[in-house]
Amino acid sequence: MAAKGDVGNHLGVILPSYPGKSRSRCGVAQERGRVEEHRQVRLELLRRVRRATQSRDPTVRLEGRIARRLRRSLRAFQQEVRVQGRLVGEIDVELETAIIEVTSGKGRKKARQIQRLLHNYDLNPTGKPVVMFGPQVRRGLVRQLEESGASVVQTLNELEAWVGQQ
Amino acid sequence: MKNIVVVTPKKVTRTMVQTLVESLGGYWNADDTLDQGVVERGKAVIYVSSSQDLDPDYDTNDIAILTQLLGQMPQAVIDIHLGHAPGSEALAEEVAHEVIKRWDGFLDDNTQDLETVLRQDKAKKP
Repeated sequence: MAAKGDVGNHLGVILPSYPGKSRSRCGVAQERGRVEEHRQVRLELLRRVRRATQSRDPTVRLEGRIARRLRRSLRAFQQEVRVQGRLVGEIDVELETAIIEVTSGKGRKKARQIQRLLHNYDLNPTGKPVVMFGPQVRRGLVRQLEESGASVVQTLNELEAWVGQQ
Repeated sequence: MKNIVVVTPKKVTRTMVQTLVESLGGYWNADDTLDQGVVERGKAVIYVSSSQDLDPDYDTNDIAILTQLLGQMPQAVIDIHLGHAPGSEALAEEVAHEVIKRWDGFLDDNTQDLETVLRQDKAKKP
């Protein structure tokens, strides 16, 4: 059973730790507020994932299935990235350790998109590895994507194994 | 993220696509790591870029089919990535048709088998 202070971790939210000194009453209230805020953000994220799994659009549904399967390390889902009001791109699924680009189609012209995710600072400030999930992507294209530094997986089991190695 | 592409029989440069994006009220992210246009309408968003390379996205058989469909060798590919917000699909279709209106082309929704498309196209013609 999770301890009282573990509520955030239980939901997959990383909470700040307070080593050393005991906390004041005010500090405890602040921490509780932060935990509640994280909890709400987390719940909304998971709600959006659930809605996506019910979408009529196969790509959106696939994104939802992946995010649900990897929800323990999920950090962002269908996230727009803006810099000074301008959109620079969107992240399908972001985990603690990786970014996942999803396509239910044949993956044509996806190599450029992967390059953006790998090399644009605003989209990937910590340089996380990028994996493309594309069940229908052709072998020749897989090779090109891999040569450009991305990984390509074609099943959910392969994806889970890849994520486990990061 | 979903994307659709328009394969054109005319050479379409980045500058031409940038002009199109800007004429639709969009803007161009010129950073080397992005190099794409963005069109926003309400919440709907699309990301547009172009390339002269068909390989390796289309193999030689695909290119032969596209040549038959277009009546000449394909010269450029306009890539339209759809944002996740509602309305992005309709916006993408609208921009794809604008691309075809300006430069002619074949709309590939990235799910079709080109041989099937060619068969259907031949069946339609007398």
